[in-house]
Amino acid sequence: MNDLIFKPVEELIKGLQDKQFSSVELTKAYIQRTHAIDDQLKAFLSFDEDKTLKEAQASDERRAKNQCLSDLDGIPVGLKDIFSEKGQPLTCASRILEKFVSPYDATLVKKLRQSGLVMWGRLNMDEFAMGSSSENSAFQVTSNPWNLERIPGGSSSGSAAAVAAGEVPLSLGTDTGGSIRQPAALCGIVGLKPTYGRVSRYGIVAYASSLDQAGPFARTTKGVARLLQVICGSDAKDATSARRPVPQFLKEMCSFQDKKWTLGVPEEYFGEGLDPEIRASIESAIDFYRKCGYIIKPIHLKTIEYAIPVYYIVATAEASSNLARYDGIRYTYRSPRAKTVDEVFDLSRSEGFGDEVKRRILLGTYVLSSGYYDAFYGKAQKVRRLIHNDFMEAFKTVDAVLTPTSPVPAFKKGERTSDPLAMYLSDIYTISVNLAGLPGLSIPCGFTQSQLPIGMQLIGRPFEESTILSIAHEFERQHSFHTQTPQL
Amino acid sequence: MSELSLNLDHLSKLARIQLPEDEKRYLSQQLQSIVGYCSKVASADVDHLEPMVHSFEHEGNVWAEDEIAEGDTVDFLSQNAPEIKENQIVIPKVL
Repeated sequence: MNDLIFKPVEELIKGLQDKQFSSVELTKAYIQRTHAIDDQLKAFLSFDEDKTLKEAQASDERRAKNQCLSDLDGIPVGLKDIFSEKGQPLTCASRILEKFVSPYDATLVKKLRQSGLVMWGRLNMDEFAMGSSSENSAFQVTSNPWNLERIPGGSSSGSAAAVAAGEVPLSLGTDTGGSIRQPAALCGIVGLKPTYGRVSRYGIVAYASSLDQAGPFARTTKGVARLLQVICGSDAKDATSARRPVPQFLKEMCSFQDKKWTLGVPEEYFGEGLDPEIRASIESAIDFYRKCGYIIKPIHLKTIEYAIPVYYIVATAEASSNLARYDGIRYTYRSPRAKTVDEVFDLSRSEGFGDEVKRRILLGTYVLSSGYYDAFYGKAQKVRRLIHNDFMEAFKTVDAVLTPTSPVPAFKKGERTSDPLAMYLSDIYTISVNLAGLPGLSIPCGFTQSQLPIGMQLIGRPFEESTILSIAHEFERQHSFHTQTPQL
Repeated sequence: MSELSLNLDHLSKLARIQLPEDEKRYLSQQLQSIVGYCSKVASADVDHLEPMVHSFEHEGNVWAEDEIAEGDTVDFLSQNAPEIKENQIVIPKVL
């Protein structure tokens, strides 16, 4: 069964349909793979093998009765440890939630169940989704499957590494400033952040509510389109989930196959700080599209210089409010040293949160505090509109924007941990997309000489995920980067 | 240090995070450099623009019927609390 673990989802679906293997056999292949390599990779924070195999067994029983719930019925999927899955631990990679057990299913988890997917494991991440490397996890640092001395990206680190390393064929992550796209790029797989509002946030631990969005990882664009289909849709439990019909992504992206789109290439995304090997890969992808008959249009997105400052004001302000709930009273961790109610608050938070979470809460508190609110938070909200307007202006003449996903390939563990600002710059190309609420996708488009994956980002108009999926698919059809697998 | 490091005591009170002295030293430095970087927003010409609170504003507000539904139960709410007694969350004496 070991030959299955790197197969794209399309082949797994066919194998299940043709009865080449059962869901239990398939799931066991991934479980065995996880046992074999996760001591080195450290993508999983926890798993419940019995529960997972029961779900696979139930899927096989449905299939035997011709009662499959969807094409993905019986396919394993990994979850970032940020989604509530009833009865399973949910730590958000934080000491403060170390013993938390989810009392209910997130809407997205409910949808996975309704489509018959088999949930395999809880995947590592940066604490409360704050970080770009997994080094902010309170429990472990995940390795990059292509080079174990390097980071896999973050914050959905385990979700990307596990798919890249063949521990699971599909996974879900969240993306507040690039946390799906950047690790997808650094691990050589496909990752998509949907338009803000496409996926319900109910049951997902909140970091920055106006930016957070869940999305899929897979080895191929078709895999991503299929998983996206499962998780999208309006939800009465999330007032910001979009009340609009969800298209058939796979069908729509395939129907767009012969379209010759206009792609915008923003000059500002190719400036100082971009690794030369990444630049060369992206430029050859642009050439590819030109040869395919696409129109390539140089554009300007000058507001990129404000993206990181605005993000770290808006996101930390929202985080300081969202994380106020961890007070030592309701959510598992209380400092054993606390004797008074004030100490319950102050010590539990001091001991329970890691450095980066503290930094962001303090920064958010600062930008919202009296005397600084207008200069920082108020101003940042106006600049956020400027960034949004910049994209909307571009979308009047282009169908999608093409950029690198990350300015650098996977860096070495420890290289950026002492300088938070350097770490923040990892997300320079992805952050604006969250501020503007747009869909963004990263696909593999090359390798560095030292065999580290390179990702290309495609940014679409709001609710036009099918367009960027179709553009990505065109590239994927004629290249083989996505079929390469790490030696692990 | 400068103004921000003085404020760190105030910030830690507002944020309800007690900071040991050694943490204060490096956090103060790091926060100063981050705040310095974030000050870049001051140079943007945006006086003519409305603040953007949310990227979802085009979707409008959402209303729900005011209906009685099954809500969160005591068991449900208390199962993750650090200390429970007779279905109630225990905290140190307040008064």
